[in-house]
Amino acid sequence: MKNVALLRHMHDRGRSRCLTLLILLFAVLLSPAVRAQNSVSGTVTDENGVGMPGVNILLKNTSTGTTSDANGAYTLSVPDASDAVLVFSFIGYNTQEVSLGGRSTLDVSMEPNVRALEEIVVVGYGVQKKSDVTGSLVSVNSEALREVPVANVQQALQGRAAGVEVQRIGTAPGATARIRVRGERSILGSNDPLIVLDGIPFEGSISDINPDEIATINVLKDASATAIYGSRGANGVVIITTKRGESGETRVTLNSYYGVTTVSKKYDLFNAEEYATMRDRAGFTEGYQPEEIEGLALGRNTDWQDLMYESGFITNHNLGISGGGENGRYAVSGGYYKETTILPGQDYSRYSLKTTFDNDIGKRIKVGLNSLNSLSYANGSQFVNQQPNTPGAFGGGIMYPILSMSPLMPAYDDQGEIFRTPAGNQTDRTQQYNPLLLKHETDSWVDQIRRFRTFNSAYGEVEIIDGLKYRINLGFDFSQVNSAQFQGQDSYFRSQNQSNRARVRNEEQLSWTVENVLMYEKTFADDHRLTFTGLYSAQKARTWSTMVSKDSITADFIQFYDLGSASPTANHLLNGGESTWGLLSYMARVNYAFKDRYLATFTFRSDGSSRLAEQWHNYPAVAVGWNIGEEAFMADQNFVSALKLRVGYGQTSNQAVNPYSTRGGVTGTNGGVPIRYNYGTTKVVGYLPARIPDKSLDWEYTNTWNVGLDFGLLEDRITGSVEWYNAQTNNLLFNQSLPISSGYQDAYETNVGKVENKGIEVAISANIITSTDGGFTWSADFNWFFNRNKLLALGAGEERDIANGLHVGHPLTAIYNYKKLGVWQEDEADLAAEYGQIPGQLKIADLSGPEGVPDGVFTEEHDRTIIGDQQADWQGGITNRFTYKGFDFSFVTYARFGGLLMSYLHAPNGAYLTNNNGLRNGLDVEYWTPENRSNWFPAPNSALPGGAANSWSTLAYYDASFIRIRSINLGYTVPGSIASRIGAQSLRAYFTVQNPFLLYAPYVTKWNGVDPEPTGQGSAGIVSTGAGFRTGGVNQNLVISASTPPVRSFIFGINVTF
Amino acid sequence: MKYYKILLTALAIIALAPGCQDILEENPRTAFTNDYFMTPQGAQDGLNTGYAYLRYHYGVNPTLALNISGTDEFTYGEQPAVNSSGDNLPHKLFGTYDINAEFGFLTTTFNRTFPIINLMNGLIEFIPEIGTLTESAKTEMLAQARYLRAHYFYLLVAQFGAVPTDQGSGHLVFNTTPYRGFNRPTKDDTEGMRELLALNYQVMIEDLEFASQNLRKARPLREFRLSQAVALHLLSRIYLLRAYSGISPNPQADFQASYDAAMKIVNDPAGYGVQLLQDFGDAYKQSNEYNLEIMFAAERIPLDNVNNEYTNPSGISDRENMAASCFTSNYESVSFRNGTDPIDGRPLLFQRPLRKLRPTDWLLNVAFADKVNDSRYHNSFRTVYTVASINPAGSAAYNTWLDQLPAGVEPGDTAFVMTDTDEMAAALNAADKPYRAYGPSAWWSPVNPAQAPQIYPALKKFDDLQRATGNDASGRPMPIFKFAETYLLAAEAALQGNINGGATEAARLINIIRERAAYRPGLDATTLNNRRASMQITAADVDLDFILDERARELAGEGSRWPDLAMRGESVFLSRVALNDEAAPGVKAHHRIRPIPQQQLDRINVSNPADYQNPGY
Repeated sequence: MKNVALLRHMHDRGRSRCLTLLILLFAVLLSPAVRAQNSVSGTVTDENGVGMPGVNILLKNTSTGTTSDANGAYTLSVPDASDAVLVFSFIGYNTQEVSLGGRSTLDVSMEPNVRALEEIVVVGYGVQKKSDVTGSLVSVNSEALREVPVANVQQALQGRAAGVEVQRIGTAPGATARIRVRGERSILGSNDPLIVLDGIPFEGSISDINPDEIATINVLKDASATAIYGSRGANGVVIITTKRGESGETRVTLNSYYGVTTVSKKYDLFNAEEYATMRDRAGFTEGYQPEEIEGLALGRNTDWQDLMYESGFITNHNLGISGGGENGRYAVSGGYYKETTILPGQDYSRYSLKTTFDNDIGKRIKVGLNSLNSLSYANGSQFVNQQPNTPGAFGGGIMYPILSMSPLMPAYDDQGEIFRTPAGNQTDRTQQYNPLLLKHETDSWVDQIRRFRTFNSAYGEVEIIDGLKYRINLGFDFSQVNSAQFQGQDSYFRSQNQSNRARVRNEEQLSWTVENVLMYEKTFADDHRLTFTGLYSAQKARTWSTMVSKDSITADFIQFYDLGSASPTANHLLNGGESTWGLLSYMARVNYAFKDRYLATFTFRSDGSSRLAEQWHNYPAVAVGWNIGEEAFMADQNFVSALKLRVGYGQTSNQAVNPYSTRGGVTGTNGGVPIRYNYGTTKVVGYLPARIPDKSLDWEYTNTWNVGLDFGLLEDRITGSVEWYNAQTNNLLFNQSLPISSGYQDAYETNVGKVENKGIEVAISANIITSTDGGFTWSADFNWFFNRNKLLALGAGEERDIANGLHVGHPLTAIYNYKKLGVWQEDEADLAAEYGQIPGQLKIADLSGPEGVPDGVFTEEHDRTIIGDQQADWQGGITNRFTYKGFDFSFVTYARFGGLLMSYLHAPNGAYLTNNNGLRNGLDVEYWTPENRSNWFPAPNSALPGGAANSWSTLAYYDASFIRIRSINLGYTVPGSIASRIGAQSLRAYFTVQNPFLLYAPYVTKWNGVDPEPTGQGSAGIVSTGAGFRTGGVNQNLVISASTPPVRSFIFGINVTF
Repeated sequence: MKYYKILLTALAIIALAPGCQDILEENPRTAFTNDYFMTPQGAQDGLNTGYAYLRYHYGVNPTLALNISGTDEFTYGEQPAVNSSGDNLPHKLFGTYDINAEFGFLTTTFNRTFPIINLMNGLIEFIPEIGTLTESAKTEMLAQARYLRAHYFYLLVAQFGAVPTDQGSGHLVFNTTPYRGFNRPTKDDTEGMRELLALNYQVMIEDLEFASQNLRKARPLREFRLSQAVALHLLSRIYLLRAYSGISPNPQADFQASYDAAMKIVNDPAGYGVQLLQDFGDAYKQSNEYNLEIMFAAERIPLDNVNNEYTNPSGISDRENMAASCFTSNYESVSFRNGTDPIDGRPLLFQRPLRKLRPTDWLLNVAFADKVNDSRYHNSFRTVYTVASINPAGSAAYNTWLDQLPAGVEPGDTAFVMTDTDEMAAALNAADKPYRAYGPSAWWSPVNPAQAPQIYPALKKFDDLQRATGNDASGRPMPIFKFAETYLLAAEAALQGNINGGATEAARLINIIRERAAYRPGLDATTLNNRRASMQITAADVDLDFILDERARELAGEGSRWPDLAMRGESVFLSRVALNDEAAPGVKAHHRIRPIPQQQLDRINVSNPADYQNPGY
C-alpha cells in the first residue's frame, strides 16, 4: 500500500504566520483478491420477474464481487458458504443482504425503492431520509439528467424543478444561463444561488462542471433548508453530488453522443424586392449604390443568412472506470465535449478529468478525495457573437451585418472573390465589410476565452463512538481564465484606416475551505430519534486580474502574442483588480423525530465575514413536520399512502456586499475615465473621494415562511408536493444618491430597501401506467410554479429610480416607458400634427403633464408609466416517459406564460434592424403604408419628424409566453444477451432531438421573432435601450437582440457499461 | 496501524489551521480609502484632481453657456436658434433668461465643485499630519489646497449665491456623514442667506490670503502650477466683488485690499514671473500658451486624448474643450458667386462650426466701435476665411473640388470676408472678385434667423489647429486669468475706493492696457505712436461702465463675463444685460443668481425642497 501526501502552505500577504491550507491526497492500491474455495450461483430478477443485468453482487466485508450478466445470472466464488453474506445492489433498487447459509444457489428478486418519501436526499452537511425532511427542497437525479444531453448544469435544471427558473443569457456555444430560486431579492447583490459541489461551496462558473459527472442535484429552497448556509442561503442552495466509485467488479462506462446542429428558424428579413420597396417608400435620398442598381436589373436576391449559416455539431464523450473492494472505492473518468454552432468562429470545447478515491481504514475511519479538473475553450463569445456596447470593449458582431446587408448587393465579385463592401449606403461602405470575410479570413481575428479549473475536495471521517462522527472536509479550488482578443487591420472587424488591436486578460481565482463537522445520531427510548450536526468552518477566496490592450501592433501575424511589438500610441490600456474575502462560520443543527411522525429541525448558524465592519451575524431557523400518513387514523384507507405537512421559518442572507465596500470609494476615475491632468508636459493622475464610506453596511436579510405538503397516493404511484412561501428581504442594498452638496458625486451603498417574493409550487410524479411483464409503461413528472416579486421600498421617500428601472410596488423587472397606442392613421393627421407627428408614425399615450393632466407634449418626465414587467405569470415543465420492452421514449416540455419580453431586435434604435429608413435591410415587419394601415410598425421614413424616435423603444415589448418541447428522446436498451456478445453488461443507444419545436410562442408566430427566450442581459447587443432599465451590475434585465438564431440538434448517442 | 497515525496527525494539523483570525481582516490592494490622502503621493494626487476639475469650468460647452451667454458680450448662436433642442436648447434659454432648474448645464458647475471642496477640506486636514513631508512642502501643498478651495467656492458663489460650507460633518470639515440635508437657509431667510454669503467671502479671503503668502512666488515657466500671482489676482477680484456684494462690513477697506493685492503684481511683474506682452494677440497664439501674460490656465495637451480625459474627443457635453468651436458660425453655408464651395468640409483652420454663441451687436459695433486703433477686434475675431479643403492635396476628392473653383482661385485665396463696415462690403462686392464680402448688416443674428449665409465674426482666441479631425475638441490649455486683467481690477478698485487719486489712477492703469492694444506687428513707429495717442483716455472718461466696456474689449469671451456683471450688483447686471437684444426682454433681477439644480433639490431629504430654491425660480 502506498499513500501520497501533499502539503501546501499558503501565506497570506507574505506576513501571515498561520498555515492556512492543507491538502491530503490518499491513493490507495487495492488489496489482492481472496482465493476461491466454493461457488454460488443464481439469478437476479426485477420486480417483474425479468432477469436484471448489471446488479452488483458483493461478498460482504470483502472485495470479492461480481455483476449479473445480461440475463441476470451470476456466479461467485466464496471462501465459506456457511456464514457468507451476499450484498445485492443496483441504483434505484433497495440493497439486499442475504445470508448464504450453505446454499450454492441463490435467486434474488430486487425491489425498487419506489417509495419516494423513503429516498435519501442530500441536505446541507449531511443526508436525510426524504420522509424526515422538514425544509423545502427539490431533487433532480442522474436519470432525469440523462434524458436531455446538456452542456451544463443550468440546462439540466431548466423546466425540471419547481421554483427554479433558468433563463439563458447568451446564444454562443458555451454561453451560460441564469438560475433564480424563487425570484430575485437583491438589486445590487448577486441573486445566484450558492452552489455546493461535493460539500464544498463552489464559486465561479458552474459551466466548469461536466454534467456527466453529476449523480444528483438537490436544490434547497426555503430558509429552514438553507439556514445552515447562513449568510449565503437566501438565494437558495444548489447541492451537486458527483458520482463516486462503488465496491464491486471494475466497471467501465462510456457515454458518447454526436449530433448535428441546424438553424431552426432564420430571421425573416425583407427580400430584395421588399427591401427596394421599403427604401423607395422611405424616400431615401442617397439612392441605390451602383451594384444595387445592377442587382435590381438582374433580379438579384442575396440571402446573407444562407451564405453565412452552416451546420454545426455537438459531441460528447465520457469514459469512466470505477470499482472497489473491501477497503477502497475509486472512480476515474475523462470527458470531452465540443459544440459548434451554425455561424463560423463560434465554438466551445471542454476537457475534463475526474478522480475520486474513498478508503476505509479500519472500521471507524474513512478518507477520500475528489478531484475535478476542467479545461475549456470558448471561441467567438466576446465580440464575434454580439456587438458589445460596453465602453472600451472591442466592437464587431456578425449578426447585425448578416441581417442588415443589402440583398441587392453581390456577395462575390466577377472573379469569384469576396466582394468586400456590400453595404447599401455610403457611410457603411467605408466601415462595414462583408461578413464572409469573417468566415474565410479566420487568421485575421481571435476571440477566445480559456478556462482552467481544478476543484479538489478531501475528507477524513472518524467514528469516535457509535453514532458520533467527526468529519473534516477540505476544499481547494483554483481557476484561471485567460481571454485573448485580436482584430487585424483591414479585416472584417477593422476597416482599412483603422489599426489592428489586441487585448489580453488574465484572471486567477483561488479559494480554500476547511470544515470541521461533528455528527451525532441516537435513538432514545425507541421513539425519540435525534440527530445533531455541528460545524466550524473557514473559507477564504481571492481573485485578481490583469488586462492589457494595445493597438498598432507591428504585424497582424503577431496577433495578441506580443503586445510589445507595436508602435507607441496613446491607445494602450492597462487594468487590474484584486478582491479577497474570508468567512468564518459556526453552525449547529438538531433534527428530532418522535415516532417518525412529529419532526422538528432547529438550525443556528453564525457567520463572520471580512466584508462587513460589523462582522458577525446569527441566523436561526426552525421547521416542523407532521407525517400525517403515519398516523393511525390514516391506516384504514388505501388512497393516501403518504402525507406530510411541513412548516418552516428562518432567516438567511446573501453575500450582496462586495469586498472592501465599507471602506469608501476613493476613486481614480470619473465617469469611468481615469482622472488625469498635466502641468506643462508633466502628466499626472488624480484621486477623489467619490463615494462616502458606510461602516454600517450590512447584509440583506431574507425572512422566509414556507408551508409544504408532501403526498403519496395510490401506493405512491402518484407522489408530489405543494409549497407556499413568502420571503421578505429587508435591508436591501441600494445606491442612495446624496445631494451633491454633501461633497460626494457617487451614490453610496446602504441598506434601505425591501423586496418581497411569494409564490406557489406544485410538483407531481406519477406512474400512470405500470406493467409487470416488461410491457408498456408511462410515467410523468410535472411541475408548475409562479413567483410574485415586488419591490416594497427603496431609499427613504424614493418612489422610483428610473435610471435603474426600480419602481416601488412593482417587480424588479418592471418596464417603465411610453405607452404605445399604435400608429397615427391618416384621419388623425390633425391630432398628430399637434404633437409634431405625421400619420404613419408611432402614436403613444399622452398620459400627463406638469399640471397632472395631458399637456399635448410627450415628455419623458410625464408620459412614461409602468407598462409591464418580465415576470412570468407561471411556468412549469412536464417530462413524459414511456417504456416498452427495451424501448424508452421521453419528451420534455417547458412552458412559461405571461410577462413581457424585451426584443431590442425590434426596437429601431436598439438594433437598427427596423429603422426602415432606407439605409439598411432589416426584419420583415408589417409597416404602415397608406394602403396597409398597420398599427404595429411605423411607415418607412428617412426623414422623421423630431421626437419620433423617442417612442421607438416601445416596439420592443411582446408577450413572452411560450411552450417549448425541449427534447424528444428515443432509446433502446439492447437485450443483455446481445450486449454480452460484445462484452458489455448493458448497452443503450438513443436518438435525441433538442429544441425540436415551439408549440406556442406569439412572439415568433405573430411578431416575427425567432425565439422567445432571452439572448443576453442588460445592453448586450443593443445600441440604445431607450428606456430606463437595468443594464449594469449583476441583475440586468434579460433581452433579445440580434444574435445567433435558435438551433435544433439531432443527437445520436450510446451508453455502454462493460 | 500506520494509516491511523498519519490520519490523526493530519487531522490535528488541519483542525488547528482555521484558527487564524486574519481570515476576517481586509487588506485591499486595489481599493483606495481616505488613508491614501494621508500619504505624500496621495495628497499630491488629491491636489491634481483639484486642478483637473478646473477643466469642467473653463472651455466646455455647458460652462461657456453659464459664463458667457446672455451678457452684453454674447448671445446664442445660429444652431440654438434654428434647432433649439438637445444640447442647443439651454443655449437659447440661457441667452433669453428663460431659465429653469432642470437644465443639465447648471449641474456642470454645481456638481463639479462640491466634491473638490470636500477633497480640499480633507487635504487641509490631512497634509499637516503627513510625517514624511518637510514643513515647507506641507505649507506649499496646503497653500495649493486652500487656493483651490477658494477658487471652487468662487465658482459656486458666482452662479448660485451663498453655498454651504458645512457638507455634513461641520464647517469646512471633510465630510464623513451621509448627509441628505442642505445647509443653506431657505429662500425666505434673507438674513440667513446674507450671513452665509458673508461666510463664503470670508472663507475665500482667508484661504487666498494664506495662498498668496505661501505659494511659490514666481509663476513657473512652461506650466500652470499655482503661484502667488494667481492667488493675489483672485484675491483682488474677491475683495472687489465683496465690496459690491452688499454684505461687506467695510466696502472701502475691501476696495483698498483689492487694489493692494493687484498692485503687488503690477509693481513687481518680474518677481511674480508675469509680463504684459507687446502684442495682444500673442497671448492666444497656439504653441505660445505658456506665455508670461497668462497667469493661470486649465491645462491640456494637444492631441493627447488620454491625458485630456476625452473618451469621445468630438463630444460636447463632458470635459471636452469646445471653446473655439462653440463660437464658430456656419462657414459651410457660404458659396462663391458662381455657387461653388470655397471651403470643402471642416478644415482644422476654421474649427468645428458648433454655432452656439454669437457676439452681440453691442460688442461688435459699440464696444469695438474703433476697429482700427484698437487691435483687439481683429485679434479676437476671425473675419476672413480662405479657400481650403479637408482632403489632402492631390487626392481625387481634392481635385474634384479644385476643378469646381472659379477660374484663377487657388487654395489660400480669400473665400469670403466679414468687413468692419457695410460700406467696405459694398465696395468689395462692387469689384469683380470671385468671393463675397459681408458687412455687419448681412451677418446672421437671432433677430433675423432666416438670414443666409449663417455667418458672423467668430471668436478665435482659442483656435486649435492641432486636432485629429475637424470635429475634435481642443487640446489647448484654457486661460483662466491673464495679467492684463490685474490692471483692470486695480483700476476699478482705485476708482471705486478713490485710492491714489481714484479716476486718475484708474486712467493711468487702463492706459497701459489700451496703449498695448494699439500695437500691431509691422506698423511703423509713427502710425503706432498716433494710434497709441488716440487710445489714451483721461480720468474724466473713467467710470464703472467704461471699465466694464474695457473689460469686454480686453477679455471678450474669456469665461467670466456673466459673473462679472451679476456680482457687481443688480443695477449693473440689469443695465448691462439690457445691451443684449435677445436677453433684455426676459431678464429679471432674480436672474442675477442661478437656480439651484433640480437634481440637488430632489435629493435633499426635507419636507419641502422648493423652499431651498433661489428666489424667483
